[in-house]
Amino acid sequence: MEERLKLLIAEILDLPVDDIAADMNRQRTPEWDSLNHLRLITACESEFDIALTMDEIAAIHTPQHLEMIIDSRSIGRG
Amino acid sequence: MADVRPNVERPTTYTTVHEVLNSECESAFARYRKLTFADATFMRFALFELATIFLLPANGGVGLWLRKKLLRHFFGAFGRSAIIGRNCVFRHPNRIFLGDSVTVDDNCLLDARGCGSEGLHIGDHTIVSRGCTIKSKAGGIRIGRRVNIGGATQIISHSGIGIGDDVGIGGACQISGGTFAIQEFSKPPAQRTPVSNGPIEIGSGAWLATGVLVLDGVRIGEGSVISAGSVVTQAVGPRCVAQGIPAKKVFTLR
Repeated sequence: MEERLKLLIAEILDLPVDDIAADMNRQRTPEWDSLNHLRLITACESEFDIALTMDEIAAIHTPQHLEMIIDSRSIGRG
Repeated sequence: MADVRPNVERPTTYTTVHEVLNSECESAFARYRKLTFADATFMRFALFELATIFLLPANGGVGLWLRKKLLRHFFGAFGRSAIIGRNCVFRHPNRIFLGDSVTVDDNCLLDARGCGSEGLHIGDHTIVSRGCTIKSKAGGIRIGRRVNIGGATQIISHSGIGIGDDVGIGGACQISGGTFAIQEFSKPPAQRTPVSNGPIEIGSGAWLATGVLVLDGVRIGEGSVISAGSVVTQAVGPRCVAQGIPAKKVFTLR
């Protein structure tokens, strides 16, 4: 996982960076509640200069999935 | 959006319940009547008192049916299929307007004392859950259609409250607020003049989670979400997610 994204997730969820794994699940991480999810999305949109739809936001459950969406947007921009 | 005019430029003051109760010019009966059903004739007031004694505590389906059939005559409007739970308290029912299929659960207080001609309106299919207080000290209250008001919520108008359609209000919310005139801080609190910064407006489709406090003069935009335990002190735009004390926008829904 990209270091920038890892740091961002750690900062928003207030967790040690080492605890952030690509497959950590939103439903099994108490710190990743609905508000922190929205904060994370806002931070990612700002950091990576992308915009997500509400459907995409609702579907994201792991850092891996989030990274995949960010990457696809970056590739799309060329 | 409910029709409540903003009045944020000039704070509103009003007569307090203490002023009515402590009036030495009137008998205790006159003061009680003023606080419960001021506009009614003596006969109508007496009938309402009887209804209060015998109908409001009645149990079961028979109690619900009797309240539906007999209480309607005291209300400003009483829509079809409205349901009134046990042990509710209604003050100035002639200024209370209930839409069709409104449900008022047990132990609620609906007090339209300060509504004047604007009244206390509750729209069709709205549910007022157990133990809620909806009260006007001054200004009208308009609650839209299909609103769900969670248990033990207090909606207290100091200069008008408007709640749009399809609003979700969690349990134990407080939609109220108001302060005292700042130049009177030398007086004891009970003697100070209450002041409101204007009406509260909550746009259609908004959702207030459990335990939200909304202060006077605040407008919450349509479709916004306020997270649990937040205190809303300033306007929140449409489709915003806001959180904290004071509530701040954390996200815009799209």
